[in-house]
Amino acid sequence: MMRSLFLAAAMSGMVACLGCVPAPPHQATPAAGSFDPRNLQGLWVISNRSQRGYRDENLQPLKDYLTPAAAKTRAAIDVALDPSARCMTMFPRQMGWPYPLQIVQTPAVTLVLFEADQVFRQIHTDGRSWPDTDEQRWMGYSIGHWEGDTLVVQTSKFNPAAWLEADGTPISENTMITERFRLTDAGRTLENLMKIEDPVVFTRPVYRKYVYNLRNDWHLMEYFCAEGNRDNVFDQKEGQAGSLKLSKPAARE
Amino acid sequence: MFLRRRKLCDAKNPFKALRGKPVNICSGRRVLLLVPVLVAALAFAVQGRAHHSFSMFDREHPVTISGTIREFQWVNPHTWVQILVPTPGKGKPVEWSIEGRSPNVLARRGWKRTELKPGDKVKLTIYPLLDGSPGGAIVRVIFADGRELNADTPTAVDTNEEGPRK
Repeated sequence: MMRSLFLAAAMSGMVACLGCVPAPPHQATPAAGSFDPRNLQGLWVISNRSQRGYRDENLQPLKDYLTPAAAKTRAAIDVALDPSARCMTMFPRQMGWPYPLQIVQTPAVTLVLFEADQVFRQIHTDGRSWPDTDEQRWMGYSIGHWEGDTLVVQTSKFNPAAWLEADGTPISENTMITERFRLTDAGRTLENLMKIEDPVVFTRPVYRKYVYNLRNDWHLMEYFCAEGNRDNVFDQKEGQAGSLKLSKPAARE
Repeated sequence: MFLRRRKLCDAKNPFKALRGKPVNICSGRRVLLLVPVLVAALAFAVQGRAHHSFSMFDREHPVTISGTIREFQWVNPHTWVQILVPTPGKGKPVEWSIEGRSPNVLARRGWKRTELKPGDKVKLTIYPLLDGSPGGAIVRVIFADGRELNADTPTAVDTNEEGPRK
């Protein structure tokens, strides 16, 4: 708890440095009937009530949604070359990992701090539009606004080197992912209804539901995938990933 | 850095080629330890493994192995138990590499970093590697005094539906 408080304080301090309004104090888990439906702050853990992954919310296989081009890409992929095997993180996969995430809110930006690989999302809620840049991101660029008690977040500007799923389902630069975050169960459950639109990859929108349980009795732990990763393919395959293989150790000196 | 990781991989790679013959697992089930050449083992490693995938384990047929802990690696993304298993017909114990859930997940299930110490004699229930090489995914630890420690199944989602939600 101390660590998460410290982390929250550090991050809100960082935001203050950027000229934003300081974060409200960290909230304890609210009692029933007294929660603020717009306060999403807390430590959240993915629930098995979620509907995500290789099937959509109607349990239809994702591969049935693929455009011919995307199906071809997926079929040609060697799943051992999953970027996550070299510890890359990417959205939206990161949202379903079995490690908690902490939400820290300020009026101008909502931060999602992920335990897994200690990465974060910035959801800009200051009314800005998409940046005029060709920057591509593994986690995407996110802007959000409130519709009633629902935080609506749009994320795009993806790096097409990322994968949407571990089976090689691709993601394209202009994929638009819309999330609708809403508290339920007296503030103890966070629902995230996700819509994935990508005319390059999918023939129709894909809908998912992520459900999170509030666990403010936990704190974010440290997690660095590179620490003990035996799945790294750099040293297992010639060619693509193997191009980084150290064939001449002396060259590093 | 890559050098160090590579060395780690080579030394403890569960796909390391074996010169083995069939060995007795203490559950009585006989597991054929095939003799893949190193190249074949590597080919399998590349084709069959995806990060955080447990598809290479035989989840239908858990076995129990008995041996002495050589090392317990308390590291993300997965813990590893290196255990030396006395094997009939082998001159010296065979080292098995047993993959486990991450330290973060295990810690939240009550495990400690020092749970397994070098020299500890334990039984491990595991899902063995499908290719027969000496490795698997941990299911539970049975200590010499009979105490058991559940590592959970590697396929379950860590949801904490049952946990306290203060």
